[in-house]
Amino acid sequence: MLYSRRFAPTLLVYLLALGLLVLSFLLAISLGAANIPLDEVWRLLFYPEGSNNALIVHTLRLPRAIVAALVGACLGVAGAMMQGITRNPLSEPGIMGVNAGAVLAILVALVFFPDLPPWSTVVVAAVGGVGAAVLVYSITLSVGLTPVRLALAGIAVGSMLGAAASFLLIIFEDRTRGVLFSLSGSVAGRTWEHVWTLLPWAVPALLLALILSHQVNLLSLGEDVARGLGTRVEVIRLVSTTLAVLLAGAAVSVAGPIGFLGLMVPHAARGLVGPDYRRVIPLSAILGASLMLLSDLAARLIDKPLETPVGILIAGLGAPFLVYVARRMAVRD
Amino acid sequence: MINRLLALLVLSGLALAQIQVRHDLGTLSLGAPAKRVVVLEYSFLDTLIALGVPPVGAAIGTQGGDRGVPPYLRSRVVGVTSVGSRAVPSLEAILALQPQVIIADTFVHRDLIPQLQRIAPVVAFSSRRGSFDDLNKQVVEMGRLVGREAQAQKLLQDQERLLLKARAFANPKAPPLLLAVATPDSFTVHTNESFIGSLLEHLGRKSLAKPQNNQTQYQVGLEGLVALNPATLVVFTAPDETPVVRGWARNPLWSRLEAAQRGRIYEFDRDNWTRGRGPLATRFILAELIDSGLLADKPASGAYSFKMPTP
Repeated sequence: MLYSRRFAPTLLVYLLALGLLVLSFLLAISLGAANIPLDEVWRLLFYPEGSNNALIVHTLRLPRAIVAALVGACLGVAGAMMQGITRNPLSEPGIMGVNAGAVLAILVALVFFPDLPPWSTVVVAAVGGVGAAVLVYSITLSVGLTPVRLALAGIAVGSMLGAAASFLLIIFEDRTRGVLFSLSGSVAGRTWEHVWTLLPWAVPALLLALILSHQVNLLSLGEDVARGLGTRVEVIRLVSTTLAVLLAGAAVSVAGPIGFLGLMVPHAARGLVGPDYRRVIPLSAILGASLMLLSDLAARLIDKPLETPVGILIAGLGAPFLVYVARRMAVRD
Repeated sequence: MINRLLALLVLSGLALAQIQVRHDLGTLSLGAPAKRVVVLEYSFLDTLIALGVPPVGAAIGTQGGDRGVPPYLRSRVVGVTSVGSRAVPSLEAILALQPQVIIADTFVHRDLIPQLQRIAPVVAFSSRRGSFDDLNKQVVEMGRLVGREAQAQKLLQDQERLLLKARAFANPKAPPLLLAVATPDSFTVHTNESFIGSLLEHLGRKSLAKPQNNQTQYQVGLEGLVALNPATLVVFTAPDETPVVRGWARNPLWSRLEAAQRGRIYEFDRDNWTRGRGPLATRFILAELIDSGLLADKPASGAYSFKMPTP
């Protein structure tokens, strides 16, 4: 309860955030190409009666909304954990090249190992994400670790891996056509199948992230302090980094690379409840899910009936935010 | 007398110099019919082959999403050099063919036309977004370009006779139909102002989809399809792809579509039906239209009925 005075209304913040999540979710399943009155949508949600509208809500809108919420929660938490572990406010799966690494790994698996079972996609994505993170980290270590350098290296590696992914998409066009996502990131047309791909990874990983949140707190105090408090820094860092990358990989495997969400959400969460990761991580999950649901909603309403990839929309919000955070850091330094 | 003969010669020479081709960017004047033409859309290739003056080069490559010459036309494309894909044709390959005229798509090649004009005069027509009438007018202009205007007129007259015959098959009481191209990741509705939509309207079958935001073709999802709920659905797919509709057909909503309940979901080759768009393609389409029972609003059967996914 260290910050309870400065950030007194924590409970209120949580209630409002949960309210926002519920509202976003209801909106997401209420609006679409078919005009179904709001009260009917909500009735059908609990009493499906086999009509076309009930099927639309249950087989099209509900799985898409659940995928969007899970993807948002995964990316928000992954961003929060990466920011805590690296003590770098610019860390997040997109900027750190993790998303791009995950995409490339999925494409490589698709092109060169087409017989891999579908459930392994998340693991493949996570392996690619770890590879990218290691690459970014080692590049930055050789020139001196600073937050901005880490972000720059991440963006450079991300672009490079993105180029490699585009190369695979073009050269092996016939084999990569089966890929779930476009390189712009989207949750359009996701079904229960995708929910079941995502759920077994996302839910345990999110719960584990909550359990580890205290350890992330210790790491965010700095290595020396954490060691002084008896933390096994290397083990905790390894476990929590793997978890963060796994969360990002799970999100990428069904939605494609969606950047900047993991940057914005933890900043908003810290602004609301303070720097304690025991509060930041669950709030990041809630806010990430809400932001993803609302962005996806906007993405399908902007150019109806055409679907704008939600990843582009979020990048439009997130890129200025990155500049804002980086400038604020420069002023503080 | 000699003077008169000379005058006549000069006049006929002038007349020869008067090949005027009207196109989307203006009028092209040529002294003699063009012999070396490079075309950047399949409909131009189809038309020139139908006119008996095949182009020297065509964008029939298979890079970047292009699928090459549509199957119905393949055996007739002989001695035509590929200049790459339609979206990104190779300027070097075009230059090497030393064309007298390049025929480009007004919309697709908008940004490329200034560069093409440095190689040879460019004639631009709206092929990709053109209606059936637009494409017929282009046949006449292309006939003029290669000195085969009479053949072009004859092609259109023959086509008109075929259309009349086909119209006799059309059931005037049939409900509107929905036409859409399904690829592995998209379902694109072709409206009444697209080539295939306007051809079917011409034959007396109304199209359910109208242009939106000035787009004659646009994508919808399964929910959008259910909202449109067509009584007849025509999907254009490629045999070597798994189109997105195969997955949609697993959803119980698919069998709720009126078209599914009436047994009126037809499936045709998308390369033949939506990419050729010339007189030869039209002849091919008319044959399949009658054969499939689509015009008469008979239930889809055999090779033309929608292939349900294997469970």
